[in-house]
Amino acid sequence: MLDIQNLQVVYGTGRLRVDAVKDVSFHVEQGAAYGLVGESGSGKSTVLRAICGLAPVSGGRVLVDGREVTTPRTKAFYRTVQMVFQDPYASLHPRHTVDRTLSEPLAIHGERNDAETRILQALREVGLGPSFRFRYPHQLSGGQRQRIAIARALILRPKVLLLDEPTSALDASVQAEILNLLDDLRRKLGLTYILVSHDLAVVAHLCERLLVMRHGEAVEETTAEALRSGAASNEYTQSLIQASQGYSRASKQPQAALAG
Amino acid sequence: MTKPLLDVEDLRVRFHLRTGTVEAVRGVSFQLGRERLGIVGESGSGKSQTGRAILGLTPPPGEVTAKRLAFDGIDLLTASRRTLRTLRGGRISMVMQDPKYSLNPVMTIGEQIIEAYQAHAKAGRGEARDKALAMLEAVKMRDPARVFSLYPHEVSGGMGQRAMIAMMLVTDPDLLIADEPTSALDVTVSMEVLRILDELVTERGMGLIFISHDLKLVSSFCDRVLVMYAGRVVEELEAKNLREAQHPYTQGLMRCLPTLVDDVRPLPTLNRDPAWAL
Amino acid sequence: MAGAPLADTPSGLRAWLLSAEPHSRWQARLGRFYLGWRAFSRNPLAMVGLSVVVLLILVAIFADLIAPYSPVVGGDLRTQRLLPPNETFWLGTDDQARDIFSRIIYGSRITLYVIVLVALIATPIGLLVGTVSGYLGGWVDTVLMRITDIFLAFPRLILALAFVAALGPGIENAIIAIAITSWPPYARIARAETLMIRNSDFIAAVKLQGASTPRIILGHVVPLCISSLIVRVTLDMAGIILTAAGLGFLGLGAQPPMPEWGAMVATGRNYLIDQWWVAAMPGLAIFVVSLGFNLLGDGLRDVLDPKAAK
Repeated sequence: MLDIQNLQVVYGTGRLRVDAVKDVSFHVEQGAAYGLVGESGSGKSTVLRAICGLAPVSGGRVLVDGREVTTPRTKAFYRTVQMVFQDPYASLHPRHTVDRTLSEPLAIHGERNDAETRILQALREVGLGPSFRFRYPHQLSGGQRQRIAIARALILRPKVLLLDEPTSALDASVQAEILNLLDDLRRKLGLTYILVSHDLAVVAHLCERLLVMRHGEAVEETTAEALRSGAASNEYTQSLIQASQGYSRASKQPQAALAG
Repeated sequence: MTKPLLDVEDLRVRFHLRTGTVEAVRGVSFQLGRERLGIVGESGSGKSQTGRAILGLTPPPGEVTAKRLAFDGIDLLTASRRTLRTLRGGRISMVMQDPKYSLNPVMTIGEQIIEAYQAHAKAGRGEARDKALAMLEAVKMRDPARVFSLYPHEVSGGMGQRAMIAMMLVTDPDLLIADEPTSALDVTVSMEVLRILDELVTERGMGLIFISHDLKLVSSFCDRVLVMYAGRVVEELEAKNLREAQHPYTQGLMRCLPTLVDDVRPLPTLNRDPAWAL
Repeated sequence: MAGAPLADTPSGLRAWLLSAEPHSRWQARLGRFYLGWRAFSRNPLAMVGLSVVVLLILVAIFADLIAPYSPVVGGDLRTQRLLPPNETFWLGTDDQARDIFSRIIYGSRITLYVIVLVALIATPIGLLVGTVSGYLGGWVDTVLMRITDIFLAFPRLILALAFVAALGPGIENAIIAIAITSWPPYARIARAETLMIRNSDFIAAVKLQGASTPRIILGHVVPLCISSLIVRVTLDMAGIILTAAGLGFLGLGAQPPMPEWGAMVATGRNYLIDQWWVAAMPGLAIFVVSLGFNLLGDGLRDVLDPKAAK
C-alpha cells in the first residue's frame, strides 16, 4: 500500500542545512499498522510530513498504492491519505464548530449531497453523539477534540491514516480510550496506519511492525512481538525499552545518552 | 517521632473567578520526612497547585487555606513575606517542567546559578563561582566551565533541566519540589536526569516531592505515592505496594496503560465514578 | 475538573444561548456572541462608549425629528446672529444665524457617513493585503509590505491633504483620501496575525484536505484576524473623525453650508474670544464621539483579545 524508498528530507541550504531524514526505507501492506519510534530529532514526524506533502521530498521516492506521489499532491491523494495531528488543542480551528470542521472536507471534494448523514455517521464512528455537532473546540475536552480530529480524517474514507503522536498530549486514561478507538476503526474500516510515537508501549500495542529511528536515520526494523519477547535488539532499541519500563536504580547508565 | 519536614493538613486552594469559585485542591493532607513522596494525578487533579501552594506561589486570584501548613515547624500560612523569601530557594526549592520557560533566556547558566546562590548565602563572587562550577559538575555536565558561560537556548533540553537542578540545589535546600521535571524531555534523557536527581537527593538527605502524571515513573522513583483526583487525595500508599492499590481510580490508572510486557486488547478504560469527585 | 457552576441558574432564552450542546449553527454562534456580550457589559466604561456610539447613530437617524431648526437656513441676520445659548437656541447661533444645536445634530450624519465609509473601504483592503502577504510569503509578501510601508511613511493628514488637493475638495474625496491612508496599519495587523497561525496544525489539516489557497485565507485565516482588526478600527475611529474634522477645518472636506463639525470649528475660529460657543460646541461634539469610540474600542479589546485582558 505504502512504499518509502530511500527517503531524504533536507531543510535549508549551506550552513543552515538540516538533514532531517537520511535514507529511510520501509514498506507497509494494506490493512497493516506500521510504527515509527524515536526521540525528538529522530525525524519520525518529518517522514509523515514528507509523505503527505507538508515537508519536501529532497531525495528518494514515496509510492502510494503503487504510484509515485506528485508535487503538489492531487485531490485524489488527499482522498487516499489523511493525517491526525499530535496536539488536539491546535489541530481544530478555534472559530469553527465541529459541524463546519467535518463538513469542510466534503465541501472541498464536492461531496455535499448527503453531508448531514455523513457528519452524523462520522461522529458516531468516533463514539460521539449528535449533540457535539455544533460545539466549538473550547467546549470540548482533549479526548473529545482528538476524536473529532479522527472523525475529520476519516470522513473522506481514506485508505491510509498517518498518526503523528495522537495520544501524547492526552491523559493516560483518555489515551487508552483513543487507542482502543483507533484499533477498532482499523479493523472495521480496513485502514492502513503509520503511527509515529516516542512511546514504545503505544507503538507495540497498535502496530505489528515498527522502525526505530535516531537522528534522521533508520536504526532497526523490528516487530512488536520481538519487543515483547525481549529478543536481542540493537543497543539503542534496548535503551528505549529499558527507559519505557520506568526508572530503576539498578539499571546500567546508557553511555550514549549522556551529553554535555 | 521527630518533627516532620513538611506538615500539610486540609490544604485547600480556591480560585475566585467572575463565573464562580473553582476549588483546585480540596482538603489535601500529608506529612513528609526526609523521604521521597510522589504526587500523581491527571490534568485537573490539583497536583501542581498543591506544590505551588506549599511554596506560596499560587497565582492570583487563588486563595490558599489549610488547617496546618508547616515546614520544619515554621507556619507557612502566617509567615512574613521576608521569611517566605528566605525559605524559597534557600530551604525549599522547585524544579519545573520545561527549562525553556523556567531559565532566564538572557542570562548565562553560570550567572543564574551564582544569582541563586548569592540570594541566600553571604558569599563573594569568587566563592559563588566555585560553588556554581561544583554544582555543574555534580549534575554531570561534561565540561562545566564551558556550560557555565552558555545561554539556555544554546543547550539541549536535558542539559537545561540539569542546569535547573544545579541552580535549585546550589543552596543545599532541605526540600525539593519537582513538578513534572522530566515530562518535556526525551525518555532516555529523562532517565539520566532522574539518575542525577536520585544521587543528589540521597547524598544530601533531602526531602523530595515528585509531582507527575506518570504513575509508573513515580512509583519507581519514590518511596510513597499520593494519588490525586479532582482536588482530593484518593489513595496513599508505599510505592512498592502499588499492585495492592485499593482505590478503583488507582487501579484503573495502572491498568489502562499499554505495556511491553503483556498485550491486553482492548485496553481497560477508566470508568469515572462521580463518587470519586465528592 | 471540580468547579462550581454559574452563580444563577439560567432559564428560557438565556438557557438556550448558554446551552453546552447547541442544536444549530445559529444557536452556537448566538451563544458565543451572548457570552462575549456578557463579558463586555461588565465593563462600565465600555458601556459608556457603546452608549455614545448608539446615541450618535440614533441622532443621525432621527435628525429630522430632533433638530428644532434647519441646519442650513439661518434666521434673521440682524437679530439672531451669534446669540449665546438660551431657551430658544440651546447651543446658541453662529455667524449665519443658524442654530448650532441643529447643525450639530445634522452634522452627526456626516460624521457617521465618513466613518462608516472609511471603515468599509479601508478594512477589507487592509485585511486582504495583510492576509495574502502573510500567508503566501516570499516575493508577494515583500512587494505588498513595501507598498504598505510607502503609505505608512506619510503622516495621515498630509497625505489626505495631498489627495484632496489633487482630487478637489468635497466630502467624498475627503473620505477616499482618509481611507487610502487608513488601511496600512490594518494590513500590518492582519499580517502579524496570519504569520502566527500560518504554521498551525489546523491550517495544515485543511491543506491536507486539498483546500485551495483562497479557501484557506478567507475561511480560516480571516476569521482569526477579525477580532484584532475590529479593535483597531474602533480605536482608529477617533483619529478618522479628527482627520475629517481637520480637513473640514482647512476647507478641504465638507463644503459649506454642510454642517460638518470640523468646518463649524473653523468658522468659529474667528469668533473664539467673544462668542466661544460657535467653535466650542462642535468641538465638544467631536471630543465626545471620539472618546466614545475609544472607550468602545478598549472594551472590545478586553473582550476579544484574551491576552490583553486582565
